[in-house]
Amino acid sequence: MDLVSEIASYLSSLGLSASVIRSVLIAIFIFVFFLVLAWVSGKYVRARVSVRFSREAALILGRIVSALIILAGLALALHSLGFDISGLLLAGGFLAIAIGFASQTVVSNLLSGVFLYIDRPFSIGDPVMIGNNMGIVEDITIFSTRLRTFKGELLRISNNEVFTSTIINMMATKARRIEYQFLLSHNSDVSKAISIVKDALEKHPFILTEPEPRVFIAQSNPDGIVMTVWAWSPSKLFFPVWMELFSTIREELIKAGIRLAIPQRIIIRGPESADILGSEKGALKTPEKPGEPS
Amino acid sequence: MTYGMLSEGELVVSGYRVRVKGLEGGFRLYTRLPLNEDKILANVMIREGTDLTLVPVEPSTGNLQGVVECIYVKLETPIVVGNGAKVEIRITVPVDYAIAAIGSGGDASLIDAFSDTERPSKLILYGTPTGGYICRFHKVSLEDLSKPGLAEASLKINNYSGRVAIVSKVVIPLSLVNIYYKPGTWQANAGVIIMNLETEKVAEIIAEETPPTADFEKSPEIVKEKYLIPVQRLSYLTFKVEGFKMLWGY
Repeated sequence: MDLVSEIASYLSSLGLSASVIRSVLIAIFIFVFFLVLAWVSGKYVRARVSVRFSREAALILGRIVSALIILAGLALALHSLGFDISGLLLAGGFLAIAIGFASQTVVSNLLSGVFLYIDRPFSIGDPVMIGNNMGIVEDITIFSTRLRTFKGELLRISNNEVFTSTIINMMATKARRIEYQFLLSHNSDVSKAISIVKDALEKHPFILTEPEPRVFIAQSNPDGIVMTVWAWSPSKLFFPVWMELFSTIREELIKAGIRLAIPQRIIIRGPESADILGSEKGALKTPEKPGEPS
Repeated sequence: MTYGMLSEGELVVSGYRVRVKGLEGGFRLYTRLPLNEDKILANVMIREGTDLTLVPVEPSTGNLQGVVECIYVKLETPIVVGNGAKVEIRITVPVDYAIAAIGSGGDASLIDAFSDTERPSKLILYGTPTGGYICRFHKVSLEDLSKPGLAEASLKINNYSGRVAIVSKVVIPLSLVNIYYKPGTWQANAGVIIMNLETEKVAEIIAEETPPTADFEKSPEIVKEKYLIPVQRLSYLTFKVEGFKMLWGY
C-alpha cells in the first residue's frame, strides 16, 4: 500500500468522506509544492541578485520572494479546501489595514531594512558601531540586524533603530588613525619626547609611512604638557596595533628619562583645612623619579 | 642561503635557522628558529615523497597576508622622462621567503613563510583611506645592487602623457607581480614592469610574464594544503596579468 492510500485510509477511519479527504490531500499537495517552489525560487533569486548586488540584498530579496510564494500557496490551498478566497482577500484587505495600523513598527522595520540594503552602510562580517553598540555584523534580516559583540553576545537591533542611528563602519576604509595623548610633566624635554615617539613609530612595521605620523604639543594644562600622537595603521591591523603601541611608546619615554605627569588633586577636609591652607605645612612634596606622579 | 630544494641539515635564512631533520618511518621534520634563540617558530612533519623548497614569494606573508595589496617602490632619485621618451631602469622589489612542499604531482603547499628580518617591512597608503591601497613600502636607489630578500626587476617607462614627466614612485599590485628565482643561488627576479604614463597624474602598470633568463624558475603557485599541517595559511597565489591604474600620481 502506498503512502497516499495509507493517509486516505487513516482519514476514512476518522469518519471523513472521500471528497473531503481528496480536498485535504490536494491542499496539502499544493502547499507542499509551493513550499518547495518558495525554497527553489528563494535560492534562485539569491544567486541571481548576488551577481550584481550585495549578498545582503540578495538575501532579503530571496526571503521576500519565498514569503510571497508561501502566502500564495496558502491561499490556493485554502481555496482548494472550499474557502472563498475573494471574501478572504476582502477580509484580508481590511485586516491588512488593521494590521498596518497595529504594526507600524514592523512595517517601519521592513522599510528600514530595504533602505539599508540600498544605502549599504555595512556588510556581513564588518566590525561596526551602531549607536552605542559595537560588534561584528552577523546577519541582516528583513526586520533586524544581528551583531556579535566583542564579548561574544548576539545582539539584535531592529532595522528601524539601525537606520536612524549613527553607524561607524570600522572596515570601510583601508587605513585608520590611532590617537593617543601623553601627559608630560612641565619640566620635560619636549623635543626629546617628540623625537623618541617619532622613532618608535618609524620602527613599528604596521604604522604607515604615509599618511605621515604626527606628534605635537597642542596644549598645556595645570597637570602637565599634553603630547598628541596621530599615526595611521591598516584598518585590518588597527586593534592589535592600537592595543600594543601605547605601551611601546610609554616604555620608550620612561626608558629615555621623560617624566610622565599624573594629574594630582589635593583634597582638604575637616576643621584643620583652614590651618593647612594658611600654612606651608600642607604643601605636598613632588616626587622626581621619571614616570612617577609629579 | 640559496633558493631551491632543501636537503637535510641547517641553513641560515635572513636571521632564522631553517632545519630539516630525517626521522624514522620516512618522515622529515622541518623547524625554523631565530638565530640566537631556541624558540621554535615553525615545526612541521613532512611525509615521504615530498620535496621541500625555499622560494621567494610576494611580500605579504604572516600578519601582512590579506593586508598588503601592492608594492610601493619609491625612487630615491626621481627620473625625468621626456615627452614620448622610453626609459628602462633596474629596480628591486622586496620578497618574503616561503618553504613550499612540492608533491609528486607538482603541486606546491606552503608550510612556512617569513619576512626578511634584515629589512624590516614598512607599509604605506597609496591614495585615500577610502579608495586607496595598502602597500609594502620599498625605497630604491638606482645604484643599489640586488641582495638576498630582494628581487630585481626591469622597469620600462613609456611617456605618452604629452609632457615631460617626473617619476618618483611605482605602485605594483601584488596580483601583477611574478617572482622568479635561480635555483642554487639567492637571485630572485620580478620580471619586466611596464609603466605607461597616460596623463599628468595617471599611469598604467602592466607586468610581462617572462623570466629574465631560461635558468630562472617561477616561484610555485601555492595551493591549499592537502596533507600538511599549515603553520601559516596563505591563500592561493595567482599570477594574473592585468593592467593597474596609478590614479594618485607617480
